[in-house]
Amino acid sequence: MQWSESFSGAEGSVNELMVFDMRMCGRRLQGSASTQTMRIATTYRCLGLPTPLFARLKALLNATCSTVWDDSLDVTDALMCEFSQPVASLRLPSLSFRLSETGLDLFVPLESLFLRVQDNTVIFCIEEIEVHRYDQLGGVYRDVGEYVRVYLADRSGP
Amino acid sequence: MPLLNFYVVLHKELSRVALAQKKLPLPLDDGEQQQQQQDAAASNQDTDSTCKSTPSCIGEQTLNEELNECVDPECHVYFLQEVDLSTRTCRRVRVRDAHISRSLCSRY
Repeated sequence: MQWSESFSGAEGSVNELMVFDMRMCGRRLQGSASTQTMRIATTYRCLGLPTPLFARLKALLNATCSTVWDDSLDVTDALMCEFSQPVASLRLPSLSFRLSETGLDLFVPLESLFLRVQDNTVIFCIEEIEVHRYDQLGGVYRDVGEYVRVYLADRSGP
Repeated sequence: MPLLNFYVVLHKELSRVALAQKKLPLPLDDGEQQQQQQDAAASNQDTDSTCKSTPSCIGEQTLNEELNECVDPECHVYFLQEVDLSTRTCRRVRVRDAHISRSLCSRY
């Protein structure tokens, strides 16, 4: 079990933590930044990545990717990728991160984030969070784009 | 959905979160677990055809790491310079084009 660093966010809330060294395909997602704030939310379902990380992840996949808004799946700006082969025959990479500087890597296989698969195309449960989109939390508008967002509740399907 | 890969503990008093991986096999010790995870990461890097490799930039191109693509030099910011598409370096605009440019300049 890996423990996060003790983190006092803006509200000192337990649902915020620092994640270190997010990687995929052996390369960093965070560019020069070594850490990223992760917020464990209760109102979102998918992995939410700020635009720079989302763009980086998209660029590391050997596929043609775009964002899609799908009401039937209850997702906005989800990552949709078309591969050159049927998705079922592919071995997809994992996202990895650590909860402390010296901790062990934790993995989120992309296969665990499938929302819909059809032939060569997959819609992932990965959403782009625009850095400049403001969200109302506790009656205060704030920039939510800096957070990697994950959903806590045990809700696995549409 | 992402957290379905983990067992999650929220420690309210210490403001800390703990995650434990659900799917990795339990190792005998931390060193072994680290080795397994390093192997998995290396495997992702080396063998997955679903990972795009880092492009080889040529000439004066630079690598945009964010977008994992090569970017041509900004030759247009220099007077009478353009990108040579075969070498991806800056070169002087060809004489004929330069002549046209001069003609346009003199006209206007």
